[in-house]
Amino acid sequence: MAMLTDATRIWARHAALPFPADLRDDAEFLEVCEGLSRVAEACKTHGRLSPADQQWLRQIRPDLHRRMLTMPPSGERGYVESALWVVDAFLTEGRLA
Amino acid sequence: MQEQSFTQRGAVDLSAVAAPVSRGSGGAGPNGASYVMEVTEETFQTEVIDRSVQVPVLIDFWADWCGPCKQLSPILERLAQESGGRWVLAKIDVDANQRVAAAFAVQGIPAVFAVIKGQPVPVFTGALPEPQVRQYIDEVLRVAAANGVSGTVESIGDEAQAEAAEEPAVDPALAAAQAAIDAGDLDGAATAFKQLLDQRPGDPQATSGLARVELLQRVRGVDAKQARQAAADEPDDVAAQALAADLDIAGGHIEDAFARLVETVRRTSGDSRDSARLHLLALFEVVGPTDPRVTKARSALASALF
Repeated sequence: MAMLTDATRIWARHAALPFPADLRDDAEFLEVCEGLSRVAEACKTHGRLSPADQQWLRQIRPDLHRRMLTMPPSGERGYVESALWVVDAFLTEGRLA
Repeated sequence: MQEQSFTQRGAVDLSAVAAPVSRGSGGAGPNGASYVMEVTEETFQTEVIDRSVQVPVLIDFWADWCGPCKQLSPILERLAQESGGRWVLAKIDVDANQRVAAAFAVQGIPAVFAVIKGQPVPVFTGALPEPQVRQYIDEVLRVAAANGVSGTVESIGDEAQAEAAEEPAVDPALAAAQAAIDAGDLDGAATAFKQLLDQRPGDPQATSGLARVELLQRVRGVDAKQARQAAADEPDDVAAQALAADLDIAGGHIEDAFARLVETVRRTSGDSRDSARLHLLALFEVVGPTDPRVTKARSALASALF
């Protein structure tokens, strides 16, 4: 559970909280959340997105988008949408909008 | 010939552009009645439980930091006002009222519950589009009627709350900028917003205000017909596309403006592409970063960029 808290802390204000119960055992999505936290923290420190982080965001975006499209309207889908919103904000603005 | 309309204030009518997101109660209904209220732990029993014997009470669990909440809340508030008192909306800030949120076992926000005859009913979680929200509310009303709850209320909330909703407190610095706009002094308004941003970097209202004023400055005195012809003749000319997009926004054609610039990003490269991207981001600020049209266009922009 500590990992969940850390994973959502940085970009939490851009996402729906608390973390949906059905996603707590989803290792792939947890990895995305952890990655977004790391990117947000790096962005905060350096003022902009690094090329490596941009590359990672580009890699995860299609899967995240596909995942969202396959989910029915729900809190879980809302959370995935929020994560995708964060990814798009990074990719279009180079920072969190 | 200029196609944008001008209000009595002397500014382009941006009424079609979403106003900054408000935490207000959604204003009053057609007869001045209000069916939206802020509820706290202290008022929960009276405003929600007791009232739910008469009409269904929908609860909107929200928080200030929650982007999706800012999409859903205005929809719920508008539908509550439309209902004419067949149901009422109770807005509960989960940060300020954690015990209520815990009592409902709220797992994520925005979360909507109904209370019928004192009994909580989960309705949905997440920011849904209005047609789906309507369907859920219709179902709540059906269930309520089946349980003998089919009344109406005339209005809720006290007069002070209604007055506060009609006349929100105005930040003096923002008021100065608004006064400049009212006087037709766009340059003065831009200066006021910039000064405000110097004092409070990232202030959302000042950011949005400055973006709007700069848009008005860009379209001021522009020959719209000529500008659109130039955009049609030179699809790869970013400046021409940007000006046409400005005119689209000023005319209320938000999605057209966004689509035009996303397409420009697709067609161009290097500095030109970045210029189109930055112009689109500025227009996102005009419309409001939480507007669903912005979310959709941002996604399209991300796809176009990568």
